[in-house]
Amino acid sequence: MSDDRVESSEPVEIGSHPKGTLAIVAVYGALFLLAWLVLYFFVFVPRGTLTP
Amino acid sequence: MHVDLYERIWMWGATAIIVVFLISIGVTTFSQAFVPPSHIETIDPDEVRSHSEFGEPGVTIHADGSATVVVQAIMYAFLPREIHVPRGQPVTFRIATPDLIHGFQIAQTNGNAMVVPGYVTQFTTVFEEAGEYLIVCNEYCGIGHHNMFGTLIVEENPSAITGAER
Amino acid sequence: MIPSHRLALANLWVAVSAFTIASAMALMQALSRADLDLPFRTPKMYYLSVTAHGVLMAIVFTTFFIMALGYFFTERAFHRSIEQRTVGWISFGVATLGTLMASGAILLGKASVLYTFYPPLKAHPLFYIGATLLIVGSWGWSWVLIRTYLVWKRENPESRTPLAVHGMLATIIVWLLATVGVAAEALLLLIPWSLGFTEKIDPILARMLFWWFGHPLVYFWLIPAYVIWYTITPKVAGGKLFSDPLARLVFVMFIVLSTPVGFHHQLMDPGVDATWKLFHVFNTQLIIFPSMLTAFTIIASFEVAGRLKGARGWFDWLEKLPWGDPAFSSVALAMMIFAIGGWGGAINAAYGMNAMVHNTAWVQGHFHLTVGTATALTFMGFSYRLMPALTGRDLELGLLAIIQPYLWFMGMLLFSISNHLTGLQGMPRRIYQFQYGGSEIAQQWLPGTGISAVGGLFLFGSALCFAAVMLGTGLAGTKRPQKEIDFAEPIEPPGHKAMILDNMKVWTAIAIVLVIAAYALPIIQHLQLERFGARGLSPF
Repeated sequence: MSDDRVESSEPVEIGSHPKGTLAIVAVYGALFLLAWLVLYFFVFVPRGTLTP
Repeated sequence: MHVDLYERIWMWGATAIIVVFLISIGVTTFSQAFVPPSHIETIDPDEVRSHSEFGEPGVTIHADGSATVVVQAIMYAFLPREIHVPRGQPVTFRIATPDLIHGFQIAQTNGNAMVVPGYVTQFTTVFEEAGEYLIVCNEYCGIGHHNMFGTLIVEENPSAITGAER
Repeated sequence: MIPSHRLALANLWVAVSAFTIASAMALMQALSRADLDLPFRTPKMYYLSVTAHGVLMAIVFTTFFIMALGYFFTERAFHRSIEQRTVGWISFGVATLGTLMASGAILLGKASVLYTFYPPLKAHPLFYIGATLLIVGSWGWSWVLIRTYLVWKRENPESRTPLAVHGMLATIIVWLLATVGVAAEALLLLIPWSLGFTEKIDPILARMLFWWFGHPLVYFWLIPAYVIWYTITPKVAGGKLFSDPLARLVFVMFIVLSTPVGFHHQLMDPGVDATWKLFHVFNTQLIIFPSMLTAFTIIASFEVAGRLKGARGWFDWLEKLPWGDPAFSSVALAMMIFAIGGWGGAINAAYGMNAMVHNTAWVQGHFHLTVGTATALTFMGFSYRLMPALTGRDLELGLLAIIQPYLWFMGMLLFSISNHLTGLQGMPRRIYQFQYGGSEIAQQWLPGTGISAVGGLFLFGSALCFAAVMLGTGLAGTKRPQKEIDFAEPIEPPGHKAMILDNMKVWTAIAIVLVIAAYALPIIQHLQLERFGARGLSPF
């Protein structure tokens, strides 16, 4: 019984949303995308095209 | 199914990242700017050494200024050992091997292709900068693998090439 | 010791032994990167050691560890013994025999064909037969776990599959779909050819079948690591699993998407149509999603742990995490490394961009972040719990266990980042040395190779710590009852929502359809070509 109550109230106790996590993954996602695009535009594209 | 709001936001973010990748890939693909070496042509490996084309590897300069480079990849060398091509012109590489799988990679360019016995590798590229390039075998082909390399010289002046090969 | 623990333990010991031998092989390669002139450093020994390292680490260590994990998790989650233990022991025997055969062939210098064994490089038949037996053994393991699940399911038709079992079933389904490819390659092409029954072999067909297996193989390595991240680590961190249904969604996505992706390893191959390559690339890019989702769920679980310990700010929860517990630090560090590994993977599989990195040092830099850390470091960290639980002995040399993940992390950053850079500078992977006739371009690689050698030494030190802790614990640890390994509770129990995620039949069926879509036509088209085949060569 008491277990149920603890579980349902937990998200409130810990703050309703994981703000630190969102911040970390947002920064990571931005770097992930940016670094990919940097390699795409500044290394891959200048190295020339291939055609059949 | 309950999903936390922030995680939902991240799911959209991750989706957006993947969509950007797919768009970039799509643009290069459908603009025909980049097609990975996917030539489909077969050849008997036992006949490569005596083949009318691959048996005499070398460079041909065509009337329009473009070049065709025929290469034989063997354990452990690329023939011809030194390849001269014109700058700023389409250069088509045609490569075959009589023995094992090799890699043909012009270091620090996108010229990179597998050379597989039984198949002809072909791709076309343009070199915008004159100078000396290193060609390496990048697929393990036995005990001398690390000794398998060649030299590519991109010439500013195409007349320097004519007759230099073969 | 309950009998099944003995079976899991036997598998774990083979894994640990393979890991230790493979680490010694890696030292040879690190010294080659430093270009040190040592008497035993010859081309023959180098390529032999690369083969042994790859086979023992990527195939033997991972497979046996995952088999140990599968037995352990299934029994722990179901609170019951596995079915058909005898089949489990026979499978263990077959897989171990296969491993001994293949390793013997390699160590005698008869099979320096690298762990990709592309024909027409030709190894001794024992190598192919041994590798096949290892896979057959793993099928027996798969059967035992599936059978146990079905019996449990019959008795508990209304219950949710425990998450750990859900993840292990996903692992098994991916493995069974994948091994069809390599079994076909071994039985139809490689073994008859190596025994001399056939003279020639088609290398492109062999590569198609190999990569049918070769890429889902990486998810076979990764999913069990994710199972540990989802079901063990939140508890170790002192918190709860942030979302149970999303974990299930991740496993299901891996079942569906793991296999129809193999051509992204053949983007630079002749004889494979560009359109099919593009289709496989599309599927591969989608598979970024479940890993992105995993990153959020696991980090959020850590945040929950920190908040339960009183953290209130944006990032102060990070300080509350048990960084001194290797079962936690291994996973946290593995995730940081995998963040880079995932990025590199998204480049490898980006169609044209593959030309920039294909078969360069970048590639070894990449997969040492993924299988070499996300998977291997997670497995090592969990071993510090698993070995005591299986043997009923105290963990010995605990200090070494604490520093081991950090040494691995440092070593891998040095090794891997330098390899990514030298790869971009055009350095090929797997080369004994790199003089290239004194080429100027090859000279540019020197700083990078030096750093990667230093990284290799760190990694070797870390591997020695791991081996010492395993041997010390397993052979000399004080015998006494050990604390049970508990699974993390989800914040919100899954209840009966989204039951479809537990329906493995549906997901397996979709996966099979995708595998057929990805491979049937390309292979049929390929067989229409006039194919000449190639003769085998063994230049090693």
